[in-house]
Amino acid sequence: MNNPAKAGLLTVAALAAWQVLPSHGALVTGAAAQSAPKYEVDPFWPKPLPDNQLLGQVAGVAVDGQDHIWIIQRPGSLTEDEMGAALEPPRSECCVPAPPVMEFDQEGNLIQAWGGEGEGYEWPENEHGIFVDQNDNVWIAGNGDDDHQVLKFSRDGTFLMQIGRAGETGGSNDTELLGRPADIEVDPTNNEAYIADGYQNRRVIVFDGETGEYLRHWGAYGEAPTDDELADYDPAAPADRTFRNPVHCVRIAEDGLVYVCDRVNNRIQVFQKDGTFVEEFIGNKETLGNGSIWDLDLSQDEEERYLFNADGENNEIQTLLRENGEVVSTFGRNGRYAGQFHWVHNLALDSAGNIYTAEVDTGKRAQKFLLVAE
Amino acid sequence: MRAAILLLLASLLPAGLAGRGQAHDMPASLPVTGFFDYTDQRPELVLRVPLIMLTNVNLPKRGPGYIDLGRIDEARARAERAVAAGFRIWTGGGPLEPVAVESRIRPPSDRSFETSETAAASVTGPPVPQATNVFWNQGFFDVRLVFAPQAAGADYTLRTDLPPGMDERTLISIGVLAPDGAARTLTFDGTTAVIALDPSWYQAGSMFFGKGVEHILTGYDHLLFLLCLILPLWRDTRRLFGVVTAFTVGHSATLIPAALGMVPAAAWFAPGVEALIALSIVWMAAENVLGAGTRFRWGLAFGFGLIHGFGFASTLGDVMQFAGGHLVVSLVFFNVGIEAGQVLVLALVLPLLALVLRDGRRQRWGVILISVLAGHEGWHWMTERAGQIDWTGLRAAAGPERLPSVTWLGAALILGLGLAWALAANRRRKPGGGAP
Repeated sequence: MNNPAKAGLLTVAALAAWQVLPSHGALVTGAAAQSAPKYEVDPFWPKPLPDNQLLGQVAGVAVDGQDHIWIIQRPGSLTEDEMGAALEPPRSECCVPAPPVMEFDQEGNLIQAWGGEGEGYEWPENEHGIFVDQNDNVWIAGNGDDDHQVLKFSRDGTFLMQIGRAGETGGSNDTELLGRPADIEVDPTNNEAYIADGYQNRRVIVFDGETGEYLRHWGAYGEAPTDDELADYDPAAPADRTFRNPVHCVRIAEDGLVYVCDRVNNRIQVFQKDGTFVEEFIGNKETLGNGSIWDLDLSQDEEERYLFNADGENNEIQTLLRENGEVVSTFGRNGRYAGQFHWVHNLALDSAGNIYTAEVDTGKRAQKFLLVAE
Repeated sequence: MRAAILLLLASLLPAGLAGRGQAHDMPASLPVTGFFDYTDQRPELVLRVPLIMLTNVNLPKRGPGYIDLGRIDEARARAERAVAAGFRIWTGGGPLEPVAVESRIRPPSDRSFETSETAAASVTGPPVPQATNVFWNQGFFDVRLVFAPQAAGADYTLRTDLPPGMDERTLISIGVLAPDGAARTLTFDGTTAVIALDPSWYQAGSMFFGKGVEHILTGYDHLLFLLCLILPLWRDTRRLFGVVTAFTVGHSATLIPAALGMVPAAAWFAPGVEALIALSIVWMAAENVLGAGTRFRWGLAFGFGLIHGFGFASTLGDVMQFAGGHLVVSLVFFNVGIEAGQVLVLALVLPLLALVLRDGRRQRWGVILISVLAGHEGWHWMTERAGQIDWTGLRAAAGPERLPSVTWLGAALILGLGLAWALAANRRRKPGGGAP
């Protein structure tokens, strides 16, 4: 055995160390304290869609009891160049619009897709929120100019119930009609459907999730809502006593607190289930435009210690302590690469704490963020 | 519309668990949960089956597709028979026929199958009100099958008989409650036709022996390492025996404690072991190519054997549940199975090597060629597996300030091993050194 041979073996050992150990970029070291959950984008989720399909604006995202991920997206938002294969005659090889409601598994495989106009219900012009309830029923809302309805389907897309009617609205104190509802959440303990209502009305309204019977509604601070005209949002002005449009989300915590997104007012208002006001958290108060509180979901620990907010104006996800609303971390930034956002509109967590996001305007995608450290 | 077509199809098929005809509408995963309780001599099986598995039973419906709970009795009896036929309990004397059967339909939000007590209470408790809207393919059919008293010590097996297309999608999780108070959970898919619910030591031992043989015969990385290990030694029976024994002692030393869970559960551990196993192939191949001495190869064989033992143990994760109360016996038999497979491989490979490497010149080039091919494969495995290591988790576990030291520790370990080997080679060379 000669010296070159020894050197050769040592080189092999060094190369092995180089390959096996993380020193060549597999790790990003950082000094951040481990005081908040950490997320890392999964750039391979979802997998490419079958049948030459393409997503339009992805308005809503929800996770069901099997940890499958549901999105509602807007086929009508595709531009002609994006849906060239669907034109007559086709102008390009790609693509055709995907159906509005799509179910994915954890790996990003498309399980099923359905939606669109059908008998017995009025499909919205502009798809918006989605929620899958404790009995696997799928709820959707729309926010087009005439979309004043919420629809309930079975998981295979069979129509079950409609609340409200397209083209008819009656203001923020009407107990039958809605006003461009944004989002839904069903309370699993009693099957009551809470609706963030919405882009035209300024309230939360609650119906029986089975019969559609009206139960109650309330506005900001738990007061009766009003529809008086408001000046543009001004961060220096006194806080509005009403919600602004849109009332963009409603989320129910295990401990019974109800969180509402007052998007343009940059605030989260917290209520009891009967509408009694509890407290409010002020988000990024200086944000103008579309506001900073777009959608909320809760962490998966037993205490639901954190709230996650999709801030589609500043294009980041914020982690807030639920006990006081303090922002303890953020991830994402404005941009179009994996892990960045353009108009991040909705988010949802699976049982493992991974976050799924949905982007609108020219975002037109859903992303998955893996929980890598708690 | 789709529901209507399905109903039509279902009506044309014999009543039973839905089969291939509906496979395209079946979810990819059909979770069946349950409990088998034989704490007294009157065994009972409670099962929760997704309603979509009962498409062929054609439960009566109302409205858009809700189950008509007011007209359910006749269909419920058909569903009970279908479930009892699909999941059958056997003893040594043959299949057991239930002497009492009860069932309930429950919505997806029902959580009563989280414990055996609440599951049993749910199946015998009041049904959901008839006005409840349970969509025909969203929810559960809960069944309780009670069997006639059996002799103490009867050995029970569960035999599944599910239609093709449904069997591989069905994921069965059964909690087994034994008379001695032990509670075990068995998880398997519907293609596993026969499961011993409380195996005897020889049932467990023979099953694990077979798994050991199967594991080594299909464990190509272990085989490639073994090949590199013995390649220059095929004529030196004493050293050959020494290194194979050292490898066996090494992997036996880690297999049993690792299989009993005495290793880190973190996500980086298993891929880390797999990467090191691939490294062991590269290492042995490099030694063979460079013509390193084989006097101390038993030491390397022992050291790498320790790592391979962790690898053997990691494959046992899903099957340890079938050992019942005989964990150690099963592990010993698994290890014996690995040795038996190893002996079988050597019995085939050694004569082949003798044939291929029979003269001196051919032997050297043959060893180099085979080692280069094996090392090349090992290198690819190594880089691929290193890429699967959860470095972020490792960093989180180690703490950001500690990880560099972990990194350098690993690098130092590998380089140190190389240095130690080089020094050993130097010592070996000294007696003959200085010759012109």
